[in-house]
Amino acid sequence: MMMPVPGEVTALVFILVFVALFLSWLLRGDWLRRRGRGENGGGIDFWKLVEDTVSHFLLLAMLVSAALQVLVRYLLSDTITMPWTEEFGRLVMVWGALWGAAQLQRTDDHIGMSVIFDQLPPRAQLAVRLFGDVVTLAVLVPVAWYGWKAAVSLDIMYTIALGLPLSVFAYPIPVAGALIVLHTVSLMVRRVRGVPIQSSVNTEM
Amino acid sequence: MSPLAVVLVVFFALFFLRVPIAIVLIASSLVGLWLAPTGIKFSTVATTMWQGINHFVLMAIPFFILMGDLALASGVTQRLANLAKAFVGHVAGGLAHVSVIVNIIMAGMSGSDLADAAATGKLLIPGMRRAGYPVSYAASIIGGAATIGPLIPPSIAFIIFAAATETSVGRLFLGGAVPGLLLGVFLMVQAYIVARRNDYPREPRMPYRERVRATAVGLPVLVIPVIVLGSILTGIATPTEAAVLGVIAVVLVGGLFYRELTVKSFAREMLNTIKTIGAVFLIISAAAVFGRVLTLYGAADALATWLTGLTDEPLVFLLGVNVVYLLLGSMVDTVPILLVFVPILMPTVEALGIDVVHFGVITVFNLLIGLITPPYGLTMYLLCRISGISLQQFWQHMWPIFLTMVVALLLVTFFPVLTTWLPNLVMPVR
Repeated sequence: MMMPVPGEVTALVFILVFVALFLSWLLRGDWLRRRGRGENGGGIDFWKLVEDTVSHFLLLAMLVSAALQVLVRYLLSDTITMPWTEEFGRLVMVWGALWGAAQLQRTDDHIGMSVIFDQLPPRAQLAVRLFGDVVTLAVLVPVAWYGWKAAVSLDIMYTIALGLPLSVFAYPIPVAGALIVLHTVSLMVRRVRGVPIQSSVNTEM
Repeated sequence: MSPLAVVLVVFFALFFLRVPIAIVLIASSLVGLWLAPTGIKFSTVATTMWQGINHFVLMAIPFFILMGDLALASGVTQRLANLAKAFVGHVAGGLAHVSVIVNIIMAGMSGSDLADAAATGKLLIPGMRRAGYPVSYAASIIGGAATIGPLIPPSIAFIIFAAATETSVGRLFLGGAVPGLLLGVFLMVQAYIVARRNDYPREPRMPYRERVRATAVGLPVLVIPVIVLGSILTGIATPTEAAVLGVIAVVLVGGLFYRELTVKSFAREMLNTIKTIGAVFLIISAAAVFGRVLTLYGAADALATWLTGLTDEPLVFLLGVNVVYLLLGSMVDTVPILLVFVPILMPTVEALGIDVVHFGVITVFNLLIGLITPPYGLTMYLLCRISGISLQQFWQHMWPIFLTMVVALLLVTFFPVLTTWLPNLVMPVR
């Protein structure tokens, strides 16, 4: 049975969206290209802006829901209850995890076993990576497609605390699957053209 | 060839062809489902994937990783290293001891050895290189020391073990504390011997005035593990909630006390954290699918039957388990092993009368060693990447540290009291 989403959840989401936009603005050097710099000239890297803002929102939402859970239980338990914090935390975690996974594919940063790969000559390395991309596509196209159908079938059920369709937990799989498929195609094009792929994982000292 | 053999061939073939590990797991699972005699819909794959990560307890992982990133960015790790240096810097192998001590204290705030290795490695490897240590030695001692992280509570590995076997997280946490400290002592003794033999440099002995100063500056950092551990052990917070309290504590100490953490650097570290959990959680969700396929073919049962058939003697069984885990842990990720293989060994563990906490600590200890052994060792790869060395260079100094760790593991295996004493004292089973 459907019930209304708690008002404080809606309010929280609005606040967090603004905070997330603010945090992305602080890091504007990442997505706002100055005129005359870089190969694409000036402008806004919209995809990077979306990636960053959504990431900020999801991680903030995880932090706030877990913090609220302790706070409300110990300090405010006489005045208010928030039974939705646990469910909301899990929801944003599932989205956050798969959102992060999709981002990593754009910069080819998913973990693989490279001991043998590293010993191969460059041409064989290219062939092996292209083969891996084809495997990724062959795996994730059906997962995204069947994941979408599975998610749609959950639309009729509702979550207990938030009153949202149960499918909100299931959509991250087809969404992330589709994004990874698109990023993989882009990776393949870049590999064949010999465009260097810049890792986004921060390992500098 | 049986369908299960095909699944395993596909798994290892793709694995060695550098296909991302998550894709390897899903691809071999799809092959397994396709070959299965009883029709299982592919749509269950997607459902199993999101259900595999839809656990509140797993939310501790992002928070621990964020905490490690923030501790490094806010100067918390640096203050901790200065504090340790003030007291052990002048001993032979001084900075190696600093690495171990910093990791022991970080272990009390964080539950992820990857997070610890990244945070301490980025800080201490350059410092050790400047002081005159070989870079590959610096990387390998941190590789060993970071494994203490998940043994000393809090610990992501224990959380996943508890979720997979329905055991008390609190008792497991306490069970890992003594073995974690024991491993720390072993590593420091080993570092002392290596330093004496190779004549590694010592730091100048600090005057007492300096020691007092480093202690005063570093003390606020020690509040963080007290908050995290204290809130779990007193029952105020679950491990997940304690992790978020730890993040808040790091932000307060690094932002208000040391004034090094800015809103901008906080925003930057959040983006790094999302990417790290993306890598880890995709593997966890894929491992859930792979686990279902292995269960479908009864592979887990076969392994359990084989291990159980070896002996009725608990100790011999545990030694067999050690060998299997060390081999598996060097090939497969920690999470799939915890979720797939551990639950099927549980009936045997119970039948042989082995304490679940003892078994849990042995399991996690083994898998942690697996994280620094090739071919599949995440911590090892991370440290090689941070320090810019090859696997061969890393292992040139790693093997004596590895043997030290195996000795500590055997000691823990032979003496269950090392793991069961503390939980029985603090949280007796009623």
